[in-house]
Amino acid sequence: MSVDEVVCREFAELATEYLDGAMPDETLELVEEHLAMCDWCRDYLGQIETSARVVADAPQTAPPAPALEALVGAFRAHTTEDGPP
Amino acid sequence: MIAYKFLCAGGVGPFSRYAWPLPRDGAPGAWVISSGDAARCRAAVHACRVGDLPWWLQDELWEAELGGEVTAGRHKVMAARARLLRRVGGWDAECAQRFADACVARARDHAATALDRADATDLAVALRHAATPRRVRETVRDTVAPEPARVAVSMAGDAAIRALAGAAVVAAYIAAHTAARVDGPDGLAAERAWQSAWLRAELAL
Repeated sequence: MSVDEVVCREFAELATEYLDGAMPDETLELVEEHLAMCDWCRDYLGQIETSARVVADAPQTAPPAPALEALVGAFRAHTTEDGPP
Repeated sequence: MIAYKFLCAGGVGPFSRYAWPLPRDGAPGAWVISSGDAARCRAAVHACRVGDLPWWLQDELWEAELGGEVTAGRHKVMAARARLLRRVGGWDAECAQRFADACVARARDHAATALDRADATDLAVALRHAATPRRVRETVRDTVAPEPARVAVSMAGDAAIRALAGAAVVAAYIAAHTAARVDGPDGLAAERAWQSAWLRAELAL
């Protein structure tokens, strides 16, 4: 991170930490200075918040067994062929 | 301690989204008490000294009284509690636009200085004659600046574009960084000081 300010690229990496409230105070001040003047990063933050809320509110249903088996099989085949993704 | 808070329309905190208790019938708003240690950013109420204002521009500016332990951050102060005393009526959309336009003029002048130093005097004169953000934008678009001044000139154009879109806080940021481009960290500090002085004078703070 830059010494004196956060730029958009850095904010993209810090956004989740910011939303989790897990950021050191010194970094938090830099992040909020950036958010005060960057409408793009405010929009980005809003999109992440919305996504997290939608996922949290989604019903917790397991996929159908055949779909799950097909996914696991495809994953195993991929990792066997190419190594871990 | 008397300080200032920039809030979104309706008295809402821009980051906390907390709806501040507003003054009513001439009485201050209710005290807002932080949940913890004022020295810790997350656990404190935030406010601005006059010198901090250019970093935090929002829709509304409020005068606030801070109570308890007050500690200074880089561009803000943190307190254990605060209450709103009055809205600074001079800060509105028109004032924000005047401030943005003034910042464009400053960025333009810094860019013109860069042109002077690059021996592009004619271009510097033409840029200084651009009296409005629209003219600055147009002049920058038509200017092929020598390499040492290219970024500063481009930044002045960016400041104009953002000011024309009403983004005062961004115009101020760009003006400060244009100054930094031309005169280094001291230039940036001087530009932010100029911006604070503009707000202090305009708003009679």
